[in-house]
Amino acid sequence: MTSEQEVRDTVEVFGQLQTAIGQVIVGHRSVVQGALIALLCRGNVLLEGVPGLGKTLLVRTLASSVGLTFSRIQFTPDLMPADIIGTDILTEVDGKRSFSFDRGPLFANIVLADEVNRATPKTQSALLEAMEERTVSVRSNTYPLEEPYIVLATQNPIEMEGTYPLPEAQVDRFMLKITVPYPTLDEVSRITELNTEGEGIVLPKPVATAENILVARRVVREIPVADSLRDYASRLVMATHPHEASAPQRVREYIEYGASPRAAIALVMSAKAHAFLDGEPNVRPSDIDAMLEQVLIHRIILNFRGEAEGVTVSNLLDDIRQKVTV
Amino acid sequence: MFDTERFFRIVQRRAQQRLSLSRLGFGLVAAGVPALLALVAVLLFVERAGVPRAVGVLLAAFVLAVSVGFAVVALRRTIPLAHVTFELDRALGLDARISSLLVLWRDRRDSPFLKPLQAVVARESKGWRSAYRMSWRARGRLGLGVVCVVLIAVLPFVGLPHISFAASVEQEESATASELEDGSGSAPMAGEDVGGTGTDAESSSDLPAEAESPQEDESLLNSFLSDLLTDTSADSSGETLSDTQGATGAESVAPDFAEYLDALLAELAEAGARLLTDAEQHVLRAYGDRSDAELSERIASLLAETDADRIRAQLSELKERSDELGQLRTATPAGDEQDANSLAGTSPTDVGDTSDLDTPLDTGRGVTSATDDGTGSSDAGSDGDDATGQDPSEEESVGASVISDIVEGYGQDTPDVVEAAVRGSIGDEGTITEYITAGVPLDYGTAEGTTGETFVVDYEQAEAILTARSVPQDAQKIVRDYFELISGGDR
Repeated sequence: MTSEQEVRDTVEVFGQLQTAIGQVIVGHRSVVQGALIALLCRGNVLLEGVPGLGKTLLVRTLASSVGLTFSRIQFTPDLMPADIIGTDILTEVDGKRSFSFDRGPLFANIVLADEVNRATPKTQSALLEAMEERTVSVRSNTYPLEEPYIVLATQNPIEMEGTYPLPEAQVDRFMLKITVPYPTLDEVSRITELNTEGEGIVLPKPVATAENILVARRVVREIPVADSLRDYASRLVMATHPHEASAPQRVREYIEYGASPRAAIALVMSAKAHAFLDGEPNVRPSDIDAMLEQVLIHRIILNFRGEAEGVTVSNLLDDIRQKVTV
Repeated sequence: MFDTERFFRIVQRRAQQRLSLSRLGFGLVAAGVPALLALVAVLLFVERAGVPRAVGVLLAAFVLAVSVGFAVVALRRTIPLAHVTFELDRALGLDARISSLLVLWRDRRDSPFLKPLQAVVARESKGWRSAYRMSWRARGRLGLGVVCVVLIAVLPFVGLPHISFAASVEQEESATASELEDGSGSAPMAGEDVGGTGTDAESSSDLPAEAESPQEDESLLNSFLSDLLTDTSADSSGETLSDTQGATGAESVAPDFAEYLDALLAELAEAGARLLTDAEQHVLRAYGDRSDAELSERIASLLAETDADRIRAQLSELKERSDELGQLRTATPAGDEQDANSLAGTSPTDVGDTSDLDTPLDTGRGVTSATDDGTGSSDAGSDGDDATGQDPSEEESVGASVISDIVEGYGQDTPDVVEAAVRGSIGDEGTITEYITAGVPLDYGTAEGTTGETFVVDYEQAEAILTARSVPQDAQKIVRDYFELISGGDR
């Protein structure tokens, strides 16, 4: 059980963490917040954005500021599962030969899976166990991954040729999907200044520890959610189902599959983390609303008509938000 | 220290009280309004059968019992605290803090967030009482319900307020008249002269019977048409009330109806393309009901028309046809002679013939034509204009002749009451008892001494003349009766 002091300390640490990341990452507040929320909720993040927007820098900065190990995997079509999870190799010690497990890049606290959709499904699926079970199995051995553990995968939405879009089952394991937007004019100026003056980008020193993050995870779980808000979150998720009575008309017309119960869990958990980062003692309706899109946007599958008519899930979520009230 | 337990207890009780009050209001309205309406209906329609006064009290008690039942049920029903706190959060805009505090208080009192939340709720929920203020709608419902119950209890004792039907009809008539005046522009209206007053009085005296008729609207129109008739009659010659009383058929209003059509056509032309108003349709329909088959058919066709231009065209045709009929009627000299005879009192048997009462213009001429020889033979002109254009001295002599006939003929061979078959201006066609009387000249003297065509309209003046002339009391009584008749008993 966490104490009030732990709560206060954790809130303070995460305040410092946001400040430290903000000194390196210009703008992208929602992206930074999403990454921290995923970290607090033991989730994984799918970052989508064109190259050059600072996705990799974000992940490196995050890892640096919390003093965690970081590894980056560039996914390519010829990348094999063993390349990321590791493999048994034959070693000889004192004349005795034996297999020993050589850990792959997945064995880090923060893993950046760059352009995850360029790898084959076989390699992509190797991520599944690591992301969800936090373990890696090789032959008959299962190796636990060190907590805190988070996978941040990126994908480029404009170069889809030769890619392997993530299957729904795998997409569902990402707690959040964050679209990285273009920076504003001022932000671009600030980015150029940071990168061209003095020593250039300097990653922040750690302001938090792995222990702080683990405590924060417990604190976040303690944040109360009113019954009415839990019900609200559930109704929001249910309204994404085309056959649900509460679904808006456009949802019925354009959605093939709605969000899973895992989405409801993610919505409530991320709302808690959102309230925590705002220093609130309870989840507010606005926390749920704020997380709705990042939680559900990749879990809703449009039908053919929706795809053909260019309907976006984001618009459908707006419809749902308008129809479903607290 | 914020007493969370007590806070939740108080807000829950307050929520129940508010719900209870709301249900009480709902019950009072739901049971009270139908009960009140039923009671009013009973008092209106079954009053004569007798309604025990205790019924109201019993009914009110029943309504109260039902409403209190609603309230008690609401009061006894426990509202879930989660619902109470949710509503409170929403009312105070507290971002679900009270609801979250409830979750911790109920399930996890050792949570590190309990105290912070208590502090926040204690700080932000100071105005929580305002959340339980009754809305205006709920207050209104409660007030309405209480009024219903009071009325239910009191009405059987005090009864429904008596409404003078005659007065209300007079109001309706005047409203209709003014509406029609607005619609027809120059159409002459009722109530501007003695004749009009007389007719109104007569109508009013018949109205209680009318009130039971479903043709109330029609009676209003009849009154209007009758007023038109009276007005025209007064304009055409002296204020001969007998004329208006005798002639109320549709034929007799044809010239006025033509004027009405003229005005209507002018207004339609001025207003551009527009359809007929309800009032205009009403007048036309009622006239059509009383017209001959041809006009009636034309009017029906006109009323069925929905095109503004065609309406105007049909109105023009109707007007022309109406004028033709009017000319045909006025070109009948025999009728004029008979009218003159009958109104001069020299040929009382003719008076009973309704053909003599064709038009008010005819009757007006009858009075004036009698001046030619004083015996009732008439060679007057064939239209009303001739009457008004006559020498005033001649008319005075006619007046003298008329009053002389009335006075001198009393109890002899001049009947004071005759029966006339008329087409009623108010009710159905039939035979009514009709007093045939005439106006009294103001200046009762020799024909040479008369100067104007004004007739006495006040019995006091007439009485002074009669007294000065030493007219016997019995004869004076006839005159007084006449004035009472024309003024509806109110001299």
